[in-house]
Amino acid sequence: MPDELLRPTIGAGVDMSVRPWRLMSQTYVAFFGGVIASTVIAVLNARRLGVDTAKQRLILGVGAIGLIVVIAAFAVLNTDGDLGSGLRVGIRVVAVVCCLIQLRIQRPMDRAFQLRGTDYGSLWGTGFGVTVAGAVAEALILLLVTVVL
Amino acid sequence: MNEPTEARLQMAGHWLQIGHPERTLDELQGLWGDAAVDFRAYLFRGAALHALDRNAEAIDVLKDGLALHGPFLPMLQVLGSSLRSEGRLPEAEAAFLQGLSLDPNDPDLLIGYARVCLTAGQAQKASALVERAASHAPESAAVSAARAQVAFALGNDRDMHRHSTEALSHDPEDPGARALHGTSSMLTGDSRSGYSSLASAAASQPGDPDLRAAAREAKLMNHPLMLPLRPFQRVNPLVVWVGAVAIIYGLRAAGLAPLSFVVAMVWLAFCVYSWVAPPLVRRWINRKWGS
Repeated sequence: MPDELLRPTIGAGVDMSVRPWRLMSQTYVAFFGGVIASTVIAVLNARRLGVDTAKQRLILGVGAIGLIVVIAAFAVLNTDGDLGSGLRVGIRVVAVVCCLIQLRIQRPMDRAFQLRGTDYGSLWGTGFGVTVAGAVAEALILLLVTVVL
Repeated sequence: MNEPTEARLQMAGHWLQIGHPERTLDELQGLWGDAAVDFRAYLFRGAALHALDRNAEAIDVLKDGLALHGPFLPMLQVLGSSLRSEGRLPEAEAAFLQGLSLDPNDPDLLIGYARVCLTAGQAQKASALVERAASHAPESAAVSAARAQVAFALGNDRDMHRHSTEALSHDPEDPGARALHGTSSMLTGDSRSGYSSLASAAASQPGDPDLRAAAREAKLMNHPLMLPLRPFQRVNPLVVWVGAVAIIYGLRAAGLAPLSFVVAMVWLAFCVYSWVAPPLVRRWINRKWGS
């Protein structure tokens, strides 16, 4: 009887020179940049970690649902055209919850990466850029929603 | 083979065993004739190069050795590990599977193959391989250490702590077991034993900057000023933040605005403390450690 455990299952190697980012660093991007920024960083990092494409799509899906929730909450609760502090915090909570789910999806491959014993990359440059771009993109989308409504 | 040559080969093996791979290479340099192509010369040279992280060279040497002497389990083992370190995972898998086709129950090969699976993110398969190794070598430090790594990959920090404690009890001096024990102690919130394990691992491997950095971080968390921030080690700060927001807005919604304000201020103070305290303590520790 062939031994199932001793059958090859590894399809591809890993590029040891690629440097993913620390999962905890991504939380800052989500907190300050919002759900779009969080999703962009999570997808880029998932690629670096070698997370399979189905899970990368899952990360994108979580981000899309988060963005829909943010837009819906904004459309329903933003009556006077001025963002209340509750709504602002609510939008941030949605981004943070999305980020937590996206981190969870990346975690198994992040742990595999840590076991390789190589170093993480720095998220400062990319993180800052994506945070600003994500926040601006989200603000523009919400502005568009205000105009349409 | 004459006696001095045999003694030289044995000396090369001895240096390797006690953790001086560069001396192994020096010793092997002096070999000539038949001794230079002895299977041990290939094995020791390959293992020494792998230990020195010169994996590309190790792979060439071991492949030459295997081509000359045929499949030999320890050589396949080191070749597989070197290929894994280079990220050439399908080739590493092929090397271990070639070895396991000769002896399907060799614990070292099973654990080596499990590490390849861990690197590829296949933690469940790695776990099954390590358990098979454990059924053939239940009391081995290598099995306990591999179980700890599998638990880490699966995110079971408590299991990792249990297995790394076992590994340490098999060999209290082993720097690898100490590093695993230190990491798992930090993950489960025991920064005191985390620091002692990581510091001793770093002291016995002074050339490893990662271990030194981990020991410094553990020292930082061990400081009394960091006591209020220890929960952050085990719980994601974002979860704590969502909790704080829920409490603050929950109290406000319940009509307890003054209490909500007090909680918000305490939370703000805590946030400021969490930003200010770690860099200050880190600076103080670094000055004390002399860099």
